[in-house]
Amino acid sequence: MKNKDIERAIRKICITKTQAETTDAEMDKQTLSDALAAYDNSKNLKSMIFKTDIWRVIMKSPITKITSAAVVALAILLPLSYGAAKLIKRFITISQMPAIKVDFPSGYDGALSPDGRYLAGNTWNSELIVIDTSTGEQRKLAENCYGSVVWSTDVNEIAVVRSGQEQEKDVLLAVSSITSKTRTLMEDPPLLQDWSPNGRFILGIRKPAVNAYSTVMVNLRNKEETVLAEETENRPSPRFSPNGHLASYVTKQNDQSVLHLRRIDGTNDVKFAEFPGEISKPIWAPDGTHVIFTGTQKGIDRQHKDLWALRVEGDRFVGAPFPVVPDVEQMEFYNWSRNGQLAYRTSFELGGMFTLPMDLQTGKATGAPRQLVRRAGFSANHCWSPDGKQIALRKEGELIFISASNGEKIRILPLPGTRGDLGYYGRGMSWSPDGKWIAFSGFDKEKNAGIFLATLETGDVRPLVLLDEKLAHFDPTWAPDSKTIAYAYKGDVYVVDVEDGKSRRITAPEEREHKRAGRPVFAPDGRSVAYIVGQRILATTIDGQETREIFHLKNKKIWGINIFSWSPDGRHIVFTPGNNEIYCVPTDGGEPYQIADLSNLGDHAWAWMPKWSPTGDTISFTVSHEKYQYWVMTDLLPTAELDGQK
Amino acid sequence: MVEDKWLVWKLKCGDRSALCRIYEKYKNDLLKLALVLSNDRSVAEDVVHDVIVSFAQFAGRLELKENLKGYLLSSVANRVRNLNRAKHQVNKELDGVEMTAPASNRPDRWAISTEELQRVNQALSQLPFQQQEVIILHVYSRLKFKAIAKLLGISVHTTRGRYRYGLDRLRSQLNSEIK
Repeated sequence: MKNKDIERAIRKICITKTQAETTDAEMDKQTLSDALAAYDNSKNLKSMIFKTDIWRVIMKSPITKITSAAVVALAILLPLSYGAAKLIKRFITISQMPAIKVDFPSGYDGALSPDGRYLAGNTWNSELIVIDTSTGEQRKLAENCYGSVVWSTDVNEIAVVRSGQEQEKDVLLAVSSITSKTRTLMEDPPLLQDWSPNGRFILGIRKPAVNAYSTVMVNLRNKEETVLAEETENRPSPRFSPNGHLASYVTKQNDQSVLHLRRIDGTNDVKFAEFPGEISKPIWAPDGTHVIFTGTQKGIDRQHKDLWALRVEGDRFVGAPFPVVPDVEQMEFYNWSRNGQLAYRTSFELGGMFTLPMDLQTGKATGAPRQLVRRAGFSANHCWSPDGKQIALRKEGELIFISASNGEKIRILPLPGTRGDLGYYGRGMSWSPDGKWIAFSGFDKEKNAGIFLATLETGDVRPLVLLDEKLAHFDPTWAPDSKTIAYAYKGDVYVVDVEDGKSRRITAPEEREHKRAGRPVFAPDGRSVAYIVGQRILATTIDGQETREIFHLKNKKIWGINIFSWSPDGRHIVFTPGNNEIYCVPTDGGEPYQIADLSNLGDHAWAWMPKWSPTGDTISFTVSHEKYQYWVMTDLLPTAELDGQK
Repeated sequence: MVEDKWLVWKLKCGDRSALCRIYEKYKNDLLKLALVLSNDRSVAEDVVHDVIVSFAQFAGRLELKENLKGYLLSSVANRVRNLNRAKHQVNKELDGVEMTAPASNRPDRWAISTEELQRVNQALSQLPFQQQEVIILHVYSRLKFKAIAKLLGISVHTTRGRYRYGLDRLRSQLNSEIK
């Protein structure tokens, strides 16, 4: 055989071996669920504590109350942190677009049509859809699309990038908003940012290196590409002026944000470099008199993100920028349509720690879930104090203790010697029944993964067992006598003696059919450790001699067993499938039944890490959930500014 | 592809939906490579699970110099290699999977082809893992030597060497069998 024949044969072999192999639903659920959990835990979550100012109150109330378009008049008192310290009192009108069921992912800018009748955008399913803003009716126009979209001036077409399949190149399309017919504008386009009013040019971004962006303009007739700005470290967000003669974009020079105004024929480039903070996403007012941008400034205790405006005359900036809308941290601005509406998306972090009241005897919930703490930078890891009065949470390099009854912060305990630069500490923590220690998964300063013990009296931290693993998903769980800890490691369950640190494996690969065992929980009687294997919960005695099945999930309607906890009397198990449901099941046999449904929070709300309180009357769990709304804003510029009487 | 860069950027910005999209996009490619390299479905599933979870955990600090698909494929290859090292496991035939060639219009060719594939498959499984890995990444996953070298952290020269030695070994084994 020749080399070519062998290569061909190898390729055939590989294809033959794998042609019918695809991931199954169970694997998808388990992998995605674990990956999302790892991702959530690794994020350096920003503080999302809501302030009770007028802006927040008005923006918050529609979540539950307004389902159709509503108009809210806002009286805004603007503190001017730039220029003269004076207050402007004026009115802005905002209105929510009708219930939009889809989510345009952050960064995939949607766009309001010039007449304001339609909102278009790409979904996470890579579908280009257009929504009637008065009825909410939506239509799919194209598939395999991504990135931002731009309407043509005549509202007949939408520019969008279609992802190339296999070896194909990406293409920039103009999709008819009426018939869905497409025409190709160019192959291998830059990341689309804007389409000129005459339809002849696009503005886009190329990414020549990591954290580097170049602003380019492409002539769609001859495909000539002009670099307007070489590599800059922040996103330039280029946009055409309404008359199409100018392009605005942002660069960074000597650590200073610079807003550019450049004639597209290259004859003039005006810069504004005096804003004391970061400028991002400049957007043109439809009459071309102003450019608005999101300005980020460092405050004493937090950064401030506000919407600013800068006046434009001809091809130059006039005067200094002035703030127009305060506190736009959670807003993502799309475009300012010709009819005067500035379209934007608002996101709300609605997750946090919740509690569910329980009847220990029946294993049934006695009330609805209640939010104990709004998500405020802590990970999903938490554990109950032995007396059931406190809950400990992990947050960066510290443990935070809150009241289990009202969520108030009681105490903060720094964790010296543990790794703090990852923002990720592994999964699982457990409070010893004698109240002396909290065991947690994590890394030390030398990047060693393992299980660590924090002494609650002194705050000292010591490694109990170091484990060779990149992911610290060990889920430590204390035995009732506080002498032993069980943990998961490389698909098996181990127990370690707290005194001498000696570990031994208690699971046998053949008993778990060579599947991974994980997320162990000590049985309340201390004689065995339960753990998840696929759709089953097994329990192995701590001497490793006997394994029995506690529960086998056969109900196909339930997603799976993601993570679970025993009731203190051992009669029930609570588990979350990894979606918006929580289930309970008797340990002596019987079908699982739902005890909480968070679908009222939204389809994508996700309950996780249920923990039964030692007193048995409460189950705690964390919820990960963001909600998005689509709004338009009008009359945001002060009248004096519009009249040019500044 | 541009979309991948975009997805990674989104992921770094904190958008968890990007993770779902990346998983959906590449899950089967990863599983297939893991299966080809490990010859064990349950190991392959574990490998893909670990690679995706690890990717998710460190996504915020990821500086992708190569394409995303290549990065994930190499992570799978690395993981399988580490598993093999740890277990001192010799690659074994895929349990319960019959080696049949893709359907062909001529049954006679189908039979010949099947027999030939069986022999190549057996010879391939006898190769050292490092050589198998490079051959499969190049022939099956269609990665260039330069890309494989970067992904595996070895020189292009070494990569080409492993490929050549592997192929030579296969050729000599297969041709000697024919004799």
